Amino acid sequence: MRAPAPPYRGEGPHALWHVSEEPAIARFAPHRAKTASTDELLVWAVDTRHLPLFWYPRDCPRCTFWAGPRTTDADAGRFLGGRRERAVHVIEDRWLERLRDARLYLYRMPEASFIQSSEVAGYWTSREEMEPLERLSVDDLIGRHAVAGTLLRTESNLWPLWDSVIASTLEFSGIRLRNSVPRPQPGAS
Amino acid sequence: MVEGPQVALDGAPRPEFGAILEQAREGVIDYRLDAPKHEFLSYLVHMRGQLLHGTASPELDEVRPMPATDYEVRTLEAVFATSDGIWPLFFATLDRARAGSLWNGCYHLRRGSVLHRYYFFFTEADPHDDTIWRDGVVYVLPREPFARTWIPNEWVSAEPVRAQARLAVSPSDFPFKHRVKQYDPRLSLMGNLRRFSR
Repeated sequence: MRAPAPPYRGEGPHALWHVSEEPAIARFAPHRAKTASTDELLVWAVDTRHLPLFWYPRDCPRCTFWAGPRTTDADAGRFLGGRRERAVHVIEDRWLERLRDARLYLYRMPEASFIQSSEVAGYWTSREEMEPLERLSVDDLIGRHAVAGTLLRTESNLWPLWDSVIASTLEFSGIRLRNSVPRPQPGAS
Repeated sequence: MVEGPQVALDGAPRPEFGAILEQAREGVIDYRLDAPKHEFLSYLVHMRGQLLHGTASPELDEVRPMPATDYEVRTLEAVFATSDGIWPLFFATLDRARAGSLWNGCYHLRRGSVLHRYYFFFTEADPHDDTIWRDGVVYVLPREPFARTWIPNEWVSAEPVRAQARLAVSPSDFPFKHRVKQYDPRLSLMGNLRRFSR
C-alpha cells in the first residue's frame, strides 16, 4: 500500500471530500471512473490529508511525491532536498495560469459507507448513492499550496522527472498524466 | 496570494543597475534611478545571484544571527535572507515592535524563462496604522555561507555574514504595502489566506 502523504500546515480534521469544478452537485451516484483500475461502480472521495493532490484544475497533469518508510536518504536528498516532512508537486509550466485562476468545490461526504483503498492511502470508495454534507468553494490554489508547505514547482515536460521518481524509493502519485505533453524526443533540445 | 511583476530571466542587461552597485561607497548604495527599488533588488537576486536581508537597523557591517520563530513555532537562531527582490522590503519597512507577529510567504514559479512571483503578507497589528511602518535597509549578501530552508526563497546562515552593500528604503518602496492584511486569529490559516486573496 502506498504510504500516506505527510501532514501539511492548516490541514484540519479528517473528513472525506469529493473535489470538482462543478459547483452544484446535489447527489453522487456510483459510476465507473475513467481512470479507475476497476469496473466496479463507485463513489470516490479523498481524505483531508490527501486533499492537496487535488488542489488543481481537474485535467491538470501533476507529478507528486514524498518520502515513505522505505525511502532512502539518498532519494530524500535528491528529490526532496532532505525534507522528509514535505511533499513535492510538479506541474507543467503551461498550466500555471489555469492553476492560478481555478476555482474548485469541495463536497464533504458522509463517511459511513466508505472504505479506504487497500492500495492507495487516502483514497476512499463507496458503493452507495449519497448527498454531500456541505460544499466549500476554494480558489487561490497557489496560495493554498504555499500555506500548506507543498514544494510546488513547474517543468516544461514532466516525463524525465516522473521516470526518475517512479524508479526511486519515493512514494508517488501521478494524476492526469495522460494530459501531459509527450516525452521529449531523444536528441531534442 | 498577490502576484508581483514578472521577471524575465533572459531579459536585457541592466547596466545602470550594475553601475550603481559598483559605485556604492563604503557599501552604501546611492539610488537615484527612476526604476522602483524592487526592480534593482530583483536584478541583484536573479542576475547576480545575491541574497537580501531586510531590517530596520541602518548601519550593520555584518548581519548577525537573530532568533526567529518559524511556522511550526520552532525557534531558530540564524541570519535570514531571501532570494526575492520584493519580500525583504516587507521586513525592512515594518517597525517590528509595533507590527507584532508577521505571517508572510513568497512563492516563485517559472514558465519558460519568465518567473512568476506570488506573495502574502499579514501583520498582527493593523497595517493601516502608519506608525507600524518605518524606513529601513536592505542588505546585499553573498550566497555563501547560506543554505536553503524548506520555506521557498528563504535562506539561513548560522554564522554572521558580512554585508556587501546596503540600500536605504522607505515604506513607499514596498509595492504591496496597501495589500497587507491584519491576521485574524479567529480564522484558520486558509481562512486568512482567503481574506488576503479577495
